[in-house]
Amino acid sequence: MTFRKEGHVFRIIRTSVVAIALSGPVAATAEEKQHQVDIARDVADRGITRIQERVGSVLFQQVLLQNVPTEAELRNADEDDKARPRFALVLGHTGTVWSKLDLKLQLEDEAKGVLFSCSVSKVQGPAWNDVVGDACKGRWMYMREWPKVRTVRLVGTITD
Amino acid sequence: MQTIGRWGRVAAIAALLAPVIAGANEFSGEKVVPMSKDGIVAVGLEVGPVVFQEILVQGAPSDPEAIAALPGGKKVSPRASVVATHRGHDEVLMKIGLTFQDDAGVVYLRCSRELLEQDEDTTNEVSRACDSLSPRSLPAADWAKVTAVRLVVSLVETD
Repeated sequence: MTFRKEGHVFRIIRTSVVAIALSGPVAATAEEKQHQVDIARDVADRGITRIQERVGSVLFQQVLLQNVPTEAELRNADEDDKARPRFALVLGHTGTVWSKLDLKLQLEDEAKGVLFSCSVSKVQGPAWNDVVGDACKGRWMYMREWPKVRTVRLVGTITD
Repeated sequence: MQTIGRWGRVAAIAALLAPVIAGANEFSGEKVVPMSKDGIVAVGLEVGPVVFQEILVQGAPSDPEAIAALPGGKKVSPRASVVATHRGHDEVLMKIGLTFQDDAGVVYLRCSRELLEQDEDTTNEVSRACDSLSPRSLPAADWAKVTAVRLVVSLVETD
């Protein structure tokens, strides 16, 4: 009986310890601040698209469009040929806490139809013009749709 | 480890010289451009088949006001990357040098990278330009005096 009582007390202590341990992250979560991102810009001629918009602690500077198909590739493309663009995202961070970026990068046509999309996640600390590289590596779109690309859009969240 | 390092250097030098010996095309160019407050420095330098679009100044603020707001006596270790587009048909090996200076030509920081490869037919590739940094850090007050960046490039086409 005594042994059972001790077991009961042990369970209460264990439950309390777990509850206290869990309350730490919960309190920290309450201090986190989430910001919505929805930034669209016309794709610049040379694929270097200026953004210069701050969301939370993150300053989005540029989107560099990489591995862009050449004119010859576009001219000679067959129906099923694929383009494999990539992005490099140039950003700054002047906050005192780290930020978690969960973003989707999209290429859209004039009617905001999504032609190409991929996800980027990063934990970012203080920085000036850091480069988040190789975003969308391995993904593809049909080459024949490339001339329709008008806009690059970033959507998602930043959690400071 | 020393042996590996020595052979690594030999291989690197051989890689750089091989196309030269084989009579490959060599190009060089340089340009001085004004520093920008956001650290994104427009360049527009064409060297052979490669166009150097811009320099990204990293690791420290570029805006004099932001530099002044750094804690007193603070030292900074800026770095940089170059954004380049290569529309040629051969891979190139590049040597890149950057000098951060003021209007009078006083140099506050140099950095360089040798034997940087860039594949043919690439767009807006970002490459670190500061493997070697001299000095390794400098007072923020000196960094605030920088008004211009000089980019010096030499490259050879390989097969």
